[in-house]
Amino acid sequence: MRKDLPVWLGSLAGGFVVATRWFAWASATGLDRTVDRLIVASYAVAAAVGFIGLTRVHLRAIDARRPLWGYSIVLLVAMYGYAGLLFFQPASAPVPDWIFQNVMGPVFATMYGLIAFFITSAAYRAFRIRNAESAVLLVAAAVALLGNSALGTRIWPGWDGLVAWIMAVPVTGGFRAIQVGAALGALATAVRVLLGLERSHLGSAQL
Amino acid sequence: MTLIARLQHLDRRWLYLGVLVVTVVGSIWPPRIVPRPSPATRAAYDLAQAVPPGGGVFIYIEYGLGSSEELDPMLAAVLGHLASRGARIMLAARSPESSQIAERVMTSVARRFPAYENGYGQTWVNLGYRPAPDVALRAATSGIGAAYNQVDYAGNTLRGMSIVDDLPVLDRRHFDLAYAFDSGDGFAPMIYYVGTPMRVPVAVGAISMEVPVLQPYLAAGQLAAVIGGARGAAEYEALAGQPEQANVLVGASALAAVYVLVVMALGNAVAHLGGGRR
Amino acid sequence: MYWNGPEDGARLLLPGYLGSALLAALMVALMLLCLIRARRGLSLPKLRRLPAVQVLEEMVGRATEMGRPVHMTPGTDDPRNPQVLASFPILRQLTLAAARYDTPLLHTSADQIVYALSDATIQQSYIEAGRPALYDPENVRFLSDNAFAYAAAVMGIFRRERPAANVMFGNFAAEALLLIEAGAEVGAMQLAATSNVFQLPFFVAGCDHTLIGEEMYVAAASVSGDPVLTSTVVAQDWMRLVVAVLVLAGAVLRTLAGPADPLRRWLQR
Repeated sequence: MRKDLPVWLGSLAGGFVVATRWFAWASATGLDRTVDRLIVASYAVAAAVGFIGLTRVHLRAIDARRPLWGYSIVLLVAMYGYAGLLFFQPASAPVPDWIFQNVMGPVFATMYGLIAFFITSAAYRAFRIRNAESAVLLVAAAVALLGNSALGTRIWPGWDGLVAWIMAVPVTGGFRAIQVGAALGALATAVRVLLGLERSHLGSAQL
Repeated sequence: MTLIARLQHLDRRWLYLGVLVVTVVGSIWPPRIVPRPSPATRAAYDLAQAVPPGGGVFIYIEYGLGSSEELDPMLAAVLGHLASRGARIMLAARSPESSQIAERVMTSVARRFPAYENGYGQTWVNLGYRPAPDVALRAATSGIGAAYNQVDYAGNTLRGMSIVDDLPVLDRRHFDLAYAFDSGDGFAPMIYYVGTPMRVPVAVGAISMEVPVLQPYLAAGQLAAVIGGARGAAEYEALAGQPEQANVLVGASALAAVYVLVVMALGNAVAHLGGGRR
Repeated sequence: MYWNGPEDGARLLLPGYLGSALLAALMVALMLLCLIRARRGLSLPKLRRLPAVQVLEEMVGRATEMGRPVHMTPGTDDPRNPQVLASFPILRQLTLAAARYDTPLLHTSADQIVYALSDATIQQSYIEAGRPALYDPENVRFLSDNAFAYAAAVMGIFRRERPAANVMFGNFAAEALLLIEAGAEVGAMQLAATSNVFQLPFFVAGCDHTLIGEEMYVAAASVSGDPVLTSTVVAQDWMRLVVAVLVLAGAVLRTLAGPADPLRRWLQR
């Protein structure tokens, strides 16, 4: 029952969502609006679950004095401090907005900027010509890199046209194939979950 | 240890130092490169040019602070162009982060146009965010006010705002253009719920990494235009006569691109000369 | 849009959804057909082996020899994403292998619900392997909801605990490259699987083994060892043939009839 109930609930909920996306009666009766409101509510619940989960994890870390437990205190103070601030002021107010622009902004930009460094080390370490296909790949990557930086046209006026062809023909064809395949795989997984065949996420072996 | 052996075991921090030098130099002394507009960017420009004064434009912001450096200049250029055309702009977002970005960029653009600086609720509105973009956009195609709980980003009521009264539904009858500025797959709900069924032309402003993924949609006509990365933003700024912010990025990224190519070539040379060892 | 009622008479489907509904119904029908055939023991086409899946055991063995743990992450999305769901059979397989070799398995997640499901899967897998004492809740960690914060935490974990094998199986955003390079820095053998086309180039270039797109769903079904589940993979292949035929038919019709081609108009009714 413990394993069957979530499966049945999942199938039922999934069936409702499918119905509201496709069938006219679900839209005409207003069921789709209700389901959409429940979906939005589920996002809010998930956010709350994440909030509570982080609190539990870091309180345990502080209690057990795990390595770097001081940062757990910093995290909890920042998390509850900012959340508490937003109880009394809207996000557009000066103080929350200042924190957003001057603390969170640089932090996220820094993490995103790390990618530039790691791309370079990946380029040195991993972008190797091992066979004909990888040679073609690297040449195309070089052409696209110079094209995107607008330097290509300084080398040869037709560079942009070459980049446009690479994007329009091989890239489009390749990505279409991957996306169609991935969509079919996702659909198959979703159907398996709806039919109750996929149970590995519930901690049990398959049927 | 031979030079090749040293290079095979090169401490990657030297490579990081090279990135730092290149980006600092490129930021302080950016090479001035004004790229020729690509067909996709020109299509975006033409779409905005076709919006009549008072025409409705729905702009969905999906990116976060991490992509701000690349997409803020693009968003500012598009908003500035639309404001110069007298378009009525409706901003919406996927997350609290994105809605604050939308507010910040639009407020700075509005300072250049009195009708927008003093015309909140008439010439533009920030609807704020609602989670689940497919739900939000789907609901907006039936009623924008209800989709956003009748309140805007700051909690003010949407009832009585002339822009919402005049543009109540996200469809072709009320809106001439829809934009998605995103750094992931946020453009997809815009196509599924706004572009295809509602026939509103959809354009996307995306980071350069996302541009290849958008090609199938562009080729199929599901997207009307794509502005891609810093280069696309610089092209748009030049076309629309907007203040140059992305041009610095283009110059710096050009230097960085050359550096990455040199590193790639060096890595391959070292690997092959050293017997193919990693 | 929310549809308010029939203007043109009663309809079963919402306007514009005929094509997608038919394709989905066909897919479900093919899957049911394959399931029935599998349950009755009737013959079905054999699946080719995915090299990347066979390497899972090798990765755990390598970690055992080096005396270092194995790390797995299902990405930074929530269980609504099918890619995350597909990671659980792999997690189970990895845990069973780790139990056999007596190797620590670290699991990090960026979603509380994924964390709870993963914790249950790992615990159950250790019990199934007959080694319940090996389960350590400290090795299953929920780090942060935010992708970059999660990546920063994982990078720190890699530096301190130096896993010898890193399995990245799920949906990843920009943090993918951070995880790849962090793994490379500590010399970990890396397997990646994702349908996120933005990150695939980084995984293909930076990892030792990669499962691209639908291969991850096939891998998830094939590691389960359940013939009923692997039969659904056959349905996927057949459906792909249908899509290919549709693409060809659409290309021919579009060439001959232009934008008014009848197939397109019919599918978008």
